[in-house]
Amino acid sequence: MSYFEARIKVDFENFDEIKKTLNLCEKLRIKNLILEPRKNILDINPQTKRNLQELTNIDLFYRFTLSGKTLKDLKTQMKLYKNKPEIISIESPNQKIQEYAATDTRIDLLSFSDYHVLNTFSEGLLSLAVQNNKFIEFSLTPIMSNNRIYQSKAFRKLHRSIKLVINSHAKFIISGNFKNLYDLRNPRALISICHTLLGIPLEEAKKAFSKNVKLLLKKAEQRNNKLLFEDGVKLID
Amino acid sequence: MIKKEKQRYILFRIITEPDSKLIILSKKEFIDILWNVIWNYFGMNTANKIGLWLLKLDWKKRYGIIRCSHITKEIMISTLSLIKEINSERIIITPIKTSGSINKIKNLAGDF
Repeated sequence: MSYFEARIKVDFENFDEIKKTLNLCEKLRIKNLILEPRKNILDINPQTKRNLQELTNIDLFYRFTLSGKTLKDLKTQMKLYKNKPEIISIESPNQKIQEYAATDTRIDLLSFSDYHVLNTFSEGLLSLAVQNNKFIEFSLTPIMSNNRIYQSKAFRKLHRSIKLVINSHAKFIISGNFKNLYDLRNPRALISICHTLLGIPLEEAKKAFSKNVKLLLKKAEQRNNKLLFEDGVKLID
Repeated sequence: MIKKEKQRYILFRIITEPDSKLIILSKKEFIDILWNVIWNYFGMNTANKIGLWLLKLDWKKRYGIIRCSHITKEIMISTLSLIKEINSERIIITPIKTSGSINKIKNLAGDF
């Protein structure tokens, strides 16, 4: 089974940095990678995507993460990212934004990567996400922290949130989202960490790194297909 | 009836930053680092089940082989991944392959 590293932030103007990242990912035997622009850009040029794909054997995918401060901000941003083939995710500690994102069909993923965003995770939001078939993202950034108190708190929060998500049968993904290049780890190793340190069943952890990410990519791909109304409902000629 | 404990061999690769100082540790020093991580993250309850043995450690070819009990395989993979730095140099220890047969692992290691 091939696993995904679902979030690596890169600067699309700095080709050398991307090359370095991809080289390290190859050494780590990562097979699938989802890249996210570090700076706010509106579009990833298809030619850039082709050039990047030529650099590596890793399958590359792309995502945008929006984080408006207010709901009005987010709605303005959403207009700019309309009809994009990439995954659109929202990461905000503002609960109004989270609730809006959970119901908006243009948004694929609710991200709870940051600790202060993870603190705002609630059962109500989870219920909304399940109803609207949204994916939820958690990240393993705290494993690389040297602050033991923060690490313990973050693990506890992650453990509780993921348990809630598994019990509610929501779809979730887990990414590394590491800031430093040398914090990167092979997704199979991250699955082991999820299983041993966070107590996630091995099968669920594997799904979060593989099957669910594939489903998310499929969802993002089908978002702009006007013939598809929802899962299993398609207009045919 | 007590189930027989099986052994698992884990082949791992060592990756350092290109401009980092050459790290060369003895087997004992490396094992100490592993035990330190096991103690910090998993504690005594887990440490007594591991059956850790370092079979090979090659700093030139940058790989190593450890042996552990099959029930603690996931813990050992986590432990290797949780090592962040050695002698203040950033390091990644990434598991390549786990097997119940040492010969398979040795064949793979031969490709390094």
